[in-house]
Amino acid sequence: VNTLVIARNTMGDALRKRVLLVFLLIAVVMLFLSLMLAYFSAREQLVTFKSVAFVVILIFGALISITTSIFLIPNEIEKRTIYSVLSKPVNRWEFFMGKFLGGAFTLLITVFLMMLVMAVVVFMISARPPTTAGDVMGGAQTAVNTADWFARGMRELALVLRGCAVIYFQLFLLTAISTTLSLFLTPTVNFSLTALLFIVGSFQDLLAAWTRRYEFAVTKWLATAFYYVTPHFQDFNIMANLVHPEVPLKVSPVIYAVQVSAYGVVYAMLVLLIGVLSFDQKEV
Amino acid sequence: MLSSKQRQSVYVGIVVLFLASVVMAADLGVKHHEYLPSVDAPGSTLAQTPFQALVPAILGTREIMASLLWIRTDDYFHRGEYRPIIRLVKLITTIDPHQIDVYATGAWHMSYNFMDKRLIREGLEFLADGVKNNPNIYDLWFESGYTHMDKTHDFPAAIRWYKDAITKKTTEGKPAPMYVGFQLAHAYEKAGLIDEAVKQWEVNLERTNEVYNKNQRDFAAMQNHGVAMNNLKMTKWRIGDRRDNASDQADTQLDFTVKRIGPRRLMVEGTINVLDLSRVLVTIRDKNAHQWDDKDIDTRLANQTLEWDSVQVRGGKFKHELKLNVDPADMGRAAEEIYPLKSDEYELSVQFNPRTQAVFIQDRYGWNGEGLTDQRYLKIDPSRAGVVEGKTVPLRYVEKVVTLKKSDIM
Repeated sequence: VNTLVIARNTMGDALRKRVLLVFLLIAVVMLFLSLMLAYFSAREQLVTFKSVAFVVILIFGALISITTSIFLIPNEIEKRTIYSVLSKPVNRWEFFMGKFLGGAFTLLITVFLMMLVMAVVVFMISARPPTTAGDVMGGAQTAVNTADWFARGMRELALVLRGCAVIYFQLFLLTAISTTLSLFLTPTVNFSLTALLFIVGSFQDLLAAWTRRYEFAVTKWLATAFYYVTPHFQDFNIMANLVHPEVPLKVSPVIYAVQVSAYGVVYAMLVLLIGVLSFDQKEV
Repeated sequence: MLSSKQRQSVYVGIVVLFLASVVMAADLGVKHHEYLPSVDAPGSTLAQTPFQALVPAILGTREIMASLLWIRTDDYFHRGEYRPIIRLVKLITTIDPHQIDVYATGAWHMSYNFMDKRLIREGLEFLADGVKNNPNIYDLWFESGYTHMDKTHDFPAAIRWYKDAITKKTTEGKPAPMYVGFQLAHAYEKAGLIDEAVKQWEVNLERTNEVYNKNQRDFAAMQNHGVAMNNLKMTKWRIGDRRDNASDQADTQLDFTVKRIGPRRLMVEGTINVLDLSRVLVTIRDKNAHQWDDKDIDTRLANQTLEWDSVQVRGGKFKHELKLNVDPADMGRAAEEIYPLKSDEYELSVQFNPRTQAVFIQDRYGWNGEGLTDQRYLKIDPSRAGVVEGKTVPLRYVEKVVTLKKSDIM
């Protein structure tokens, strides 16, 4: 209960921050602006919009996640409000987890809002009548009608939902990392290190390729260990399937999305447990 | 503060979660290769790509990078700057090999808009690359067929591509559109395989019937049904009509002269006894043109000369100026870039091929040139034989070829 109360207050504080609202506003404006790009066909418009929109949500989501979570605990210490909270019957781990969950809920709301904008635009682009002669001719065979447009729109909406869910769990993990790192590092250093981990985690395939090329056993072993210890942000990248759902995969995209989200939760819990231990012994 | 027991539980939790994360990462790593091509896989094109293409591919932003580059390409196109387009479309499809519209439009630029006949092969190879990367989608199979049909006039090749296209799906998982079957029937007809064309129109009619009967108020279904019905009827009627015309063979009496009217400018002027609005194909190429068949694009562009144009016949005469001194697309390229003229000798040909004529012209001369002859320049090609009413009919066409020396052109 204590954790949830702290989480709710943290979320309220975070949502009042101007920087977060500015990021959110820019992201929404960018989503609409990307509609103005030039296209040859409706299919291209959908492909381009989806690829731009998912990256906008990911990048702005990451910015919101990091800028929110790096200040969650340091601000409480700096303003000394942490003393009044910890003097009450509240465990340190409850405080830490409450702060994290507050950040995670804030992120959930912002990602949801961005997803809402994207979903509306994607539905408008995909669920519409044929515009070219080719579409019309092709349509004769498949009886294009309102139900068909609606079904097409719903298929795209399902992709948006799946993509945003996976992005959320990726950012959930990022929030856990920066919240835990905020126990040891100043906000500026924390921002840089978290961003670096995010980029390194997104380069895992390249790291794997390099590790295979090393001759020395020790170097190879260290590189392999580094590969498994660092968070695999790259595995959250399912853009290929979201943008080109027509390309068949050997794995079920839905099951993969669930598995990678579960990985995000497991890794986040691991990081948070380290945070719980550290915060328990931290002098404040 | 945590009790020592709680602390122990946390330690155990950390170890368990760490092991779980390693196992999950190993499993996901393998599965994720489905979403991202491996950098070091044998034969991976990514391994040979420049860094600017590699980074977005690995960073997970390849789709957006490809989309943004595509917008840039479109901008170049609308500004009339065609030069960077080939490089950009190849970069885009290396980054994201599933951009079907980039393959289709890029190949269209190469085969059509640059107005460099040597690039048609490049466009077809680009499409073939797209087919390799998107084998289940009909679009690029169809585009390849269409380019063969419309540009190279290699109708058997067009048939092969269309036959595959018809078995594929759209990006939405629906069957290939009806016009693919229509084009296949037209390709059979162009290749002189009339019995096959009739069979294909029958299949088309059956398919359109099925859709039309489901919803008779669907305008497109009604239109497709009408097209299939009319074409089947007309093709069957033409078999009889053209059989009758073939008995009276017209002597085309093709002849022409070539005159140099300036540096790199040739005037081809001639006579041919064919119907008005027939077309003759005027081609200039290196004398040993086959030497370029196995050469790479850079070598060909640096050395090969190839140009053709379809010229209308009026009142039994035709006239065409071959301008090898200007960029045909007005893209600001030097004439030497498009027409290097590096060989010592060239072949200039004028050809009347019944298969590339309009329908009403074919009505007189037949699908396979059954109704034409020429005392001097008639060619009979059994390797491109057609089949009408179960009979194999070799292609009859008329072609006069003259050899020009480099000095005749320069």
